[in-house]
Amino acid sequence: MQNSIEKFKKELRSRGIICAVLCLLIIAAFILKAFIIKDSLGEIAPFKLGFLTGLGSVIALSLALMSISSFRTLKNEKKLRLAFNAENDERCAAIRAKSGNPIIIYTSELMIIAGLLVKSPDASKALIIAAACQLLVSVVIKCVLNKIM
Amino acid sequence: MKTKIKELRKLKKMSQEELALAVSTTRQTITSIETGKYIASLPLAYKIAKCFGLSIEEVFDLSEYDE
Repeated sequence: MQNSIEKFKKELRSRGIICAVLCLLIIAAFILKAFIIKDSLGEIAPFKLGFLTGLGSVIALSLALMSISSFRTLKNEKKLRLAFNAENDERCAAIRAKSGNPIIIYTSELMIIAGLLVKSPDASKALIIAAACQLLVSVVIKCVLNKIM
Repeated sequence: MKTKIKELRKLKKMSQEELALAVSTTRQTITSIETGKYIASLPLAYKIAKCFGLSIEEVFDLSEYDE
């Protein structure tokens, strides 16, 4: 048990570091876009650029929050134990599996990337909307299962 | 599935969170097991029973599975 918690501590620390690094990379990309390569972005459709900016901001904010919460959890022994229990809880794992995690997240990510790469604006919008709907359905299923399970 | 967890917990003056910590699960899972919404796995049922110093049959009502 103590070994598992120590392992979880290491995992949480590396998770926090990875989130912080990714967040900094996104911020660096934003700075790069705004000041250095702003003229070469003319070929990208405005809606794609807007979508990327919005998505990037949300992801950067989420990563920053996840990183902060990881490091705060590491400092508090009770919070660490609760986080460990939540991570290894069989009911939570069952709910996650039934709501399609993590496959839904992976396929949605692939659909969004495909949507950004495809040239046709209609196909691009369709792929992004389908990915968003897929994620929404997964969240709704998770909420319903949380209530009934 | 009916269980005696709530009664046993009250007898031991234990909160759901304390029991959850003792058996390495979440408070929500304990609530779901107590209300019969979720059936605990064998390892979790064993941990809960062990926490009260009883056998699984004494904590969980398994009569509905009797043929």
